Amino acid sequence: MHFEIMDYELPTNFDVVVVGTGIIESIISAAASRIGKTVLHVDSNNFYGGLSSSFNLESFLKLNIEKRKSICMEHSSLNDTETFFPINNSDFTLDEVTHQWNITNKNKNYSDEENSAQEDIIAKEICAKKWLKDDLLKESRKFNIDLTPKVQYARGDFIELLISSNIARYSEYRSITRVLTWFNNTLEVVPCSRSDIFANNKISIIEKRILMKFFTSLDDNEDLIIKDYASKTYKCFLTDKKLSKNLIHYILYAISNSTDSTLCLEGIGNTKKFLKSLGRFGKTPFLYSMFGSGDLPQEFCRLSAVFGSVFALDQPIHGLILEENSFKSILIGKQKIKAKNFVLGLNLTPDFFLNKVKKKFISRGVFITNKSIMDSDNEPLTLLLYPAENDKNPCTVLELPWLSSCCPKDTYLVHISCNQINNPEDDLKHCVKNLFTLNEDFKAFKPLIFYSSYFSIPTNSDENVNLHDFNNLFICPGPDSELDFVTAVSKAKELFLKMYPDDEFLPRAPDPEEIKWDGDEEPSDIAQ
Amino acid sequence: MALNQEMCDIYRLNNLHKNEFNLKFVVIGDFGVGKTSIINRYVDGEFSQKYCITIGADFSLKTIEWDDDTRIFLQLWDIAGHEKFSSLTGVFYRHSVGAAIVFDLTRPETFNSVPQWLNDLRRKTQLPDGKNIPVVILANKGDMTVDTMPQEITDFCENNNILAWYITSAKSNIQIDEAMIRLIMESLNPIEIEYTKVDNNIIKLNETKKTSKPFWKCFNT
Repeated sequence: MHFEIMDYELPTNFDVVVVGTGIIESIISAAASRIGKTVLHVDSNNFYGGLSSSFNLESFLKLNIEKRKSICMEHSSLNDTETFFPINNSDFTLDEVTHQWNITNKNKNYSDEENSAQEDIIAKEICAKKWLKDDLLKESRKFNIDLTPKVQYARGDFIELLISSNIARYSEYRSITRVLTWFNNTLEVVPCSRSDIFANNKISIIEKRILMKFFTSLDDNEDLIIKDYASKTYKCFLTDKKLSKNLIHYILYAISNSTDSTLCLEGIGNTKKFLKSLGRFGKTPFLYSMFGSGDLPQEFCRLSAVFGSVFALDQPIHGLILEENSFKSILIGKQKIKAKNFVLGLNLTPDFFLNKVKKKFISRGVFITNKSIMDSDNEPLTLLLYPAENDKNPCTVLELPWLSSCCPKDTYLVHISCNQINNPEDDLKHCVKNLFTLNEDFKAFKPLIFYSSYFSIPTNSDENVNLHDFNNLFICPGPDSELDFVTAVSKAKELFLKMYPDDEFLPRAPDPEEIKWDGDEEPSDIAQ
Repeated sequence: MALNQEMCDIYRLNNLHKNEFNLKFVVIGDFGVGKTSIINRYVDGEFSQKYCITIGADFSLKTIEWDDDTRIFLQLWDIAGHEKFSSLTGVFYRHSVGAAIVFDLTRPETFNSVPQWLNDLRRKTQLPDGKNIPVVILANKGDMTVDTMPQEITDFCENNNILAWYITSAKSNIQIDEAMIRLIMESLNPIEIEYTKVDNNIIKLNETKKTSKPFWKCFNT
């Protein structure tokens, strides 16, 4: 049966047009919509989130062939006074995603179907976790594979924003069960709870007391610390405090997620952030959003839509039209859409506004494995903060069990990220080698990799943006290498307040049952 | 005052044994086909001539005393500003256990996009057991005259595993209750099996929960 698709026209006049559905764009969209501004929110991709998106397995495998369609410019519709700035189309760099399967497809050699079915049953009985490539593909929809995985501090700015704006009603989270570090060639649990610290046989009872004293002393003598350690490293501070090597490792590389060169004040800040988030929701300070980090931008988009924004994905977005000294409209398909303000993702920003600098990337690895990197009674959600090693950057390893709704039962989905030095495979090699095995016979301890993928995520900050004097264009940086969305929240708030300095940033949205409809008095501005 | 309180308590005691279920249905379909009118009619029993975009509300809630043992809190989710079939978020579809796809009988082109809506729905939803969620199609504005169409709808439903279709009218309150009851009946079975298992480890941020003290505070003597 053939159906004609209806020609779809967008409305053509808005307060704000938001282009791109990354986290910052989505927060701004929700904030503007929330205070009653008319918002058009478009994306040229046919999915939400851009580089913050999550995909099921099948879509993830197709990522490297799915390229944005080529954009043709429409100059015919321009007046003499208008200048056209084509949207940048060069920065969607996921075309170098590699995929490697370490398990085979169903063996097709069996002549007798029944036989093969029987063999399968036997094989499954012998080893309950025997997966074939086809089996994983059949469960494709159970996967939510993040391009840029994020965990959130339980008392971080992002979680506070979700709660204060009531966007939390869309969210379901799981607490990270344990935080691990790599120490003396083995995995160690970073103490976050009373039971952790008692179970930890690497720390003596004296060290435990020293650690406790150190944490409670962080708030004291702040002025002294600022004076004496302003230009010194956190490591130097910890050493001066006469902490043992063990404790320095836990505090420096795990609790404060720092490196040897992290400055003292930043290290103390990070440590406090970690401590502050303990004891709110779970055993560790971290939360992970169920169904993947790609859900987070969508929560803001949903709120934005509920307050009246118009959403359209998969749009042929051509460029911005400048008239006199401000941007007047955006060309989408054959439509010229007017707006007072334009919000744009950095990866779409016309070249004209960008200084040429060397691009930075995050090296990413994605793995599907058969068990956790460290045995546990329950099915743990693990964050491993893997310290820098020789010439390698520190790596963040996030291991998700099926309970996170990111992978099927009896598998684990593992994300590894670090700031790029050479290329993803090379940057993560040491970490992968220490944690996993590719050899099924090697049944010792390590999890077996079924599938692995490597790619790079561009992480350009907006420091290279030069907007000249055009004050109604707002540029949102792409993904960053932070664990959480703290910088995204502050950037979104900053841009929103630049746009609407006198308005409240994401006031609490009412719950459905709090909204009273008055039958006689429809709000006049929304009735059509 | 005291009497009221007592009545409430008696009512609550009488109904304490009831199993309570939250059901989430999504109502999807093209712009202006009457999704909001259908929801308002079903939930509040009202119909407004004026066209009014739903602002600020995610869903409308209807409490249904289903039978002696069952109470249902039915959430009907409206698509709000996500006007095109490809533009709905996963957040919108999440945990939905039933769907109504609405089109306007008097505008046949809105039926032409039903396959796209269905496709988007099937791609982004499934029941916990991996099955497709039940779907009904509502041919709305049935109070107005129509010449053709029904056979095409019947064929489409047969070929696409649609539970049922109804000619509805939000204005004259025709067949909306029937459609919803059919959808509820179909949705209840898997729910009873799957949703009674409560997972205590899922964290809802807006529900504050007490947890244990951080460890370094445990050492304070």
